[in-house]
Amino acid sequence: MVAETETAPRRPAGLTAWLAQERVFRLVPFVMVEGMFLLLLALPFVLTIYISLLRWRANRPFEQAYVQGFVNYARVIGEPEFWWSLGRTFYFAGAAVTLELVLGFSLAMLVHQAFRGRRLYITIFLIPMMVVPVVVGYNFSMIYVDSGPLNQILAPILTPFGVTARIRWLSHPIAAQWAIILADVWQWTSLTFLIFLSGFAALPPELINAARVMGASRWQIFRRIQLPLLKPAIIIAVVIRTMEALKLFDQAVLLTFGGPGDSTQTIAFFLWRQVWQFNKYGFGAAASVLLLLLFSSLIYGGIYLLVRERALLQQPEGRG
Amino acid sequence: MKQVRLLAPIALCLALACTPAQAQTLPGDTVEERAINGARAYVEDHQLQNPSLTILLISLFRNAMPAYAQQWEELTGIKVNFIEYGYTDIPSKIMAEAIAKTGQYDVFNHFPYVVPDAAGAGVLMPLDDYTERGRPDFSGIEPALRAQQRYNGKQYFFLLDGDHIILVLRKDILDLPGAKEEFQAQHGWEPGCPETMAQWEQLASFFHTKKGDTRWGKTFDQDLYGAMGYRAINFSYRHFPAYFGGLLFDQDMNPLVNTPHGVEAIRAFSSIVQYMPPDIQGWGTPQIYPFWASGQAFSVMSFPSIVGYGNKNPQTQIVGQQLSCIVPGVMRDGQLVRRSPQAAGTGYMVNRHGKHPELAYYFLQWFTGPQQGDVAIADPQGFWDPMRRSNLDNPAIVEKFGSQFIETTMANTKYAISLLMLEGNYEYFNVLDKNLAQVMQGNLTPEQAAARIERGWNSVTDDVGRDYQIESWRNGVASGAYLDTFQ
Amino acid sequence: MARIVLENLVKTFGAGVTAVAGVSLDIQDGEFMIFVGPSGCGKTTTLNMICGLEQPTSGQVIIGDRVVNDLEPGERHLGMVFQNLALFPHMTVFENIAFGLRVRKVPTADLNERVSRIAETFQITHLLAKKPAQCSGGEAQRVALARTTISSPDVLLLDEPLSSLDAKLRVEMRTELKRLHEQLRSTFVYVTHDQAEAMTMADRIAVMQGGRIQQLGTPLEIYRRPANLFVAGFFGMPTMNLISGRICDSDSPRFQSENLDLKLPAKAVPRTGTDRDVCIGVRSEHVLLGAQGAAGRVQLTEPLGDETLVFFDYGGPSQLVAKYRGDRTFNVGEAIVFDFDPKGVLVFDAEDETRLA
Repeated sequence: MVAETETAPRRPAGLTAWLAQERVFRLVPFVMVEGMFLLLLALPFVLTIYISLLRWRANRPFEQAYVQGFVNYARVIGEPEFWWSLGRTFYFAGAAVTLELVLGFSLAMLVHQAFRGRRLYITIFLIPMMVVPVVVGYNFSMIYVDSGPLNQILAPILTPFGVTARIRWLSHPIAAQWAIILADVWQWTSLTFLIFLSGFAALPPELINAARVMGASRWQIFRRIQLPLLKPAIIIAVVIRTMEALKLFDQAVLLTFGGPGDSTQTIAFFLWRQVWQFNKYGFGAAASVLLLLLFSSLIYGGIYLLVRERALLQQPEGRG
Repeated sequence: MKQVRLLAPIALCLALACTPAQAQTLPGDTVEERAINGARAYVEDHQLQNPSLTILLISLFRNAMPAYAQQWEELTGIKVNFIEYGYTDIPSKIMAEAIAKTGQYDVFNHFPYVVPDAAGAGVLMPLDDYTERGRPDFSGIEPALRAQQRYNGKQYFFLLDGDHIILVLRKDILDLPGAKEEFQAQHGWEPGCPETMAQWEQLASFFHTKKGDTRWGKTFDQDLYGAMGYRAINFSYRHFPAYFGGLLFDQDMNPLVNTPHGVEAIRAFSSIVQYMPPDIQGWGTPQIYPFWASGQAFSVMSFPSIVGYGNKNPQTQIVGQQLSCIVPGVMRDGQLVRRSPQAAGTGYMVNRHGKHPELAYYFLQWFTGPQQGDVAIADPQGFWDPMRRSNLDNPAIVEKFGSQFIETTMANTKYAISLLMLEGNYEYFNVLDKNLAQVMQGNLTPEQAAARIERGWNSVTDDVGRDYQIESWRNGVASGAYLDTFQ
Repeated sequence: MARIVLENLVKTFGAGVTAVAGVSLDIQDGEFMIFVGPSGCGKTTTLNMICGLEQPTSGQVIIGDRVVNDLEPGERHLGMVFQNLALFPHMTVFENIAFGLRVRKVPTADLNERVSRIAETFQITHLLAKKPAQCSGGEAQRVALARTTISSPDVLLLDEPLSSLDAKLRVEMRTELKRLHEQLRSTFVYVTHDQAEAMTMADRIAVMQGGRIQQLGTPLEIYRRPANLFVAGFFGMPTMNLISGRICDSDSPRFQSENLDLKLPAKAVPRTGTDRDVCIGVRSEHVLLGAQGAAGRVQLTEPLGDETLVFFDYGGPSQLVAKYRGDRTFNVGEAIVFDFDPKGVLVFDAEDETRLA
């Protein structure tokens, strides 16, 4: 008995004392970080999942909503417009991001080689990114008017080919899609340009010199040295831009309001419409949960590629 | 007997408690006076310090509104603040308030068709108890416009905008020497305001002129489009009922669009597009108004404020050349049926979750009252359009709009109808818009579109709740909001 | 044949920055030539001009019997090993080695043959499938050499190739490079700031400073007969003892400075050296610690095993160092007596710092 009382751990009294223990106290920051995480990210997510299970149109008070299981998910999956909007969004994102990559890459390559006026070029090429999307949308809606500046610029190019240069940028279903893609390209090529410019700047010049000494031509150096080494930058640009482009919304609202018909209705706009115009909260929540799963798997795929690329390129420090 | 004995004291209590309140009408000879007195009394009774109201305002009115806010503050000591948003954003703000119940707004400023969803969600204050005491005056407002202020038997909305669509023609083109005679020889009637949509299309076709052509002694130095109208997504639905000329559903909420009559309406709606500017499907007001004012079209079907724009805008080329027309109609069973949808129509609602709904109500009654409302309509900075009989005789309003326009728009008011006053109406509208666009793009025939619209509308009805919708629809039709009745 | 001739090479960058200020040099075919000097002396720029990565501002580069100024680096039949090796990180070792052949469109069979043969030579066959990041420092070094030598260049340029290695490996690699040079018999031009590397490997050394060659010669010439104070100070470990003073009396010359008055054998003093301000230089192995001479006091000792460096104060502006071979141990603070071995005393002009013949 006596021995037992002696070896029993002494319990400090009170919460403060408990917290003050080394093994507890060092966990406090983690608790706070995790708490913030739960509050900021997990809570709205859980709420969204909860709402997605409800039968709830917001034109009825929330008090009348009830859990109806996965009905909303079934309806989202069964809704052709959801799939059309999703497909359209991938098409927009694919076209826009491809153009942004090619243009941004070419511009970065040219500016990287330029000796004079580099700073000026960089400043000019970065302006579009700084412009507020609403302003971009407004400006483009004026540029795209069928008797407007863009068609006037195109007229001398198109007329010799027998094409009337009154492209209906905002009302022809396909032209309107490209109107949105081009507005996005105008605004976001800046970003890919910036990413690639820093990518080019970070390429070790010795590698290129080594290839030159070995007799590689400019094209061979570009194709076999620069391009593969810029792969991380390319992946970063693709992931960032794709993430953004999949959320394409402003231009679709400002330029065409999803029209004509629904030919420029992106998935973000579809969601906005379902929730904020049609008040279909449960349906919208289910759709956004599905999209979250889809998009996050895409993004993680991209990040996985990036990490793998990085690991391969990493130079161990301090050889020997 | 036992029951009666139990109920009697309760009934007596209720009667005693309610009777004085019901009977009590606010003092004042005019609508505006009663509103001012009501507001003052409310502030006094509740001993409010620095009372204020916040309006969720359509940003278009940011220049015109502060003068009235100041006036109200001088009259009552109640300060009025504004939170501005574009009109496309406001419905979502109202619905968010329905859930969040923050009370940060006292008054919502939007269009009548937002009422069903908002009232259904419980964010709008029914105003009947207040009107009982404040006794607003809606005389001189045509029944359909008046009916728009109510939903399912309750008043939620105070209208201050006769925003039903009209047709405007170009007088100067009509008057070109020989034009009228040539037209009459071709079509057998003297050109002018058309009676029917078909006649409008004849006009559009006849006056549609290519750049460089010389007709009636005039060489056209730019294209003259025969017609203009709203054909973009989010706009088509505001005009389509004019081509349909009747109730869109029967009394059991079965859509009536997939009928020979509906198909014809769809055909007419898209057929005239061939005389419109090629980009019309992408145009909203910011494109349509300046284009019209630049003189490049012969006719336009639009919100009535386009006439003021055509006369007053600094860049306009068509001052004094606009001929306002009553909306053309369609023939149904041998009868000409004209229907002018209330395409927007600014008005005001009270937030149920606001701190002082009653106080907010008094602002509505004052601001939209027969005298005060006319002041606003006459305001050169405002976008409120004539809507009361009294507007015809108001010199300031006549000065602003021109008497020909006022007479026409007031005549047009007789044919004004509500857009769908149903919950989920945005979704009904969207189904309509999308399918009309497909027809205009040549991807669907009017018959196919009619069938799709019918299917789409039925699925919205089922999703919102068919029984509920049937009841609302019957109430709306009975209130006269659509002029037509069930056959 | 790859004799390299540099004719009055000048390279200026922008306004006023002169990296190479007129270098003329004749590098023999098969010679191991080392450019040595502190950083910024122009040695790498000179190498880059030979290679073609830099265009000379004026002057000519002749390789073999061609003026190559206008030739691309790839057209000059030379190989280059870069400071941090510049292996392509995204390619396997095989592809790295094969790169030079691939860009020249060598047929695959021939290419595979040559890569595996060179891999055997450098004992890196087991690395061929790996990426450079997976190789150790020494392995990467051999990969870089294999890559450079596979196309049998007439000239091999090496830009501080050993600088990223640790000390032990660096010493081993010196031997390997020397052996490689003997095997290939091609012209090596090697840039380093490490005088020990230069001493151990070079046939001839060009010591550079300020964009000019200060001295050209065999390692021993440079060590024993440095042309000026800079070369004298740059070579040798520990650094040569330098003392400013004056030599007087040509018959029985004495070196006098503030705190020192030493008798010098007449043989050690050049005729031009008397009665003028000079600086004498004595390497530590020529400082004798013994029974006679001037007095000093030990400040620090560095035992190196077979010999000991003794740093001592003699009352002058800087301390001197002696390399002592023997059994005696020195304690800090101990009084000593030192003298200079006459055959090790070098006399430099105090004005232009050149050695007086």
